[in-house]
Amino acid sequence: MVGLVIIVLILIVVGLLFLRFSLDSKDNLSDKSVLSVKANNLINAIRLTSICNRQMYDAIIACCNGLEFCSRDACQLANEEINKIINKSLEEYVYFEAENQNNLCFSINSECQGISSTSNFIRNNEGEAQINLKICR
Amino acid sequence: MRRGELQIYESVLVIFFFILMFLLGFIFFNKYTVDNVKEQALKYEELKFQELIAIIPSMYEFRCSFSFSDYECIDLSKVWAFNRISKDYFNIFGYKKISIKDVYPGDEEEILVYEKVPRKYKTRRIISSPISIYNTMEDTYHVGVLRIEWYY
Repeated sequence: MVGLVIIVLILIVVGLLFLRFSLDSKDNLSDKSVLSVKANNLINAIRLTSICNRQMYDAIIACCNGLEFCSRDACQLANEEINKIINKSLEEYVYFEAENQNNLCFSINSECQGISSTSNFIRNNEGEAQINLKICR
Repeated sequence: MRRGELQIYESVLVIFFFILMFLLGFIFFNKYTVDNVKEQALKYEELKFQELIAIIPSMYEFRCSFSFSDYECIDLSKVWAFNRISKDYFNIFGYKKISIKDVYPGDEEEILVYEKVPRKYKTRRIISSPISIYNTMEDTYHVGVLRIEWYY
């Protein structure tokens, strides 16, 4: 009788061990770092892109200063072109914002939870601004 | 059946069960360990593969190099030049295909950076990231997509 009790106990222990091995947690740390690299690469690419013989950051700063760029409203132009860049280069949903001294100049898509890029400070002769990008999850 | 005989049968059953459990446990543990080592090796390779989207844009073979500037971009003229000697980089890239697609404002032209595809492979993994590309001829910056395919 004692032997059968031992067998039952062993079966329970084996079952618990099997559960422990099969429910081994898998972290998604590498996914986060990949998204972080993508976010930083994208914001850098947006910042540098040529537009009207100048660069996108010039258009963003013009927008924050309420100026025209390329004979058009700078904010509308920057918004349209950055939207195209985001749609063509990433499949993920992306939030982008440009601000100047905590005043939002313009944003693309709605704020979300996700992986943020590092803040980029852009500057030229006309002024300065800060751009941020987030890949939503 | 007498009580003594019953206890003998029970003992035999328990010993048989112990041996069975020991063998099953050994097989299971061995399989788990081997699988774990294989999984760790694959994870390491995968991590190295994922890191390429950060490493390639910063490699001196591709990155823009201007005086007094911190522009992080890929110089297309370097990419075209690299294409001629790309076979020498098998030790670094292995069985992969690396390409750059000019997505804005370009015409989605694909530029091959490196290609070494094995004759037979089980799986193909793809990772991509936006990058800034510099066209030396036009002196313009475009947005490209760096696409890396890994065959194993």
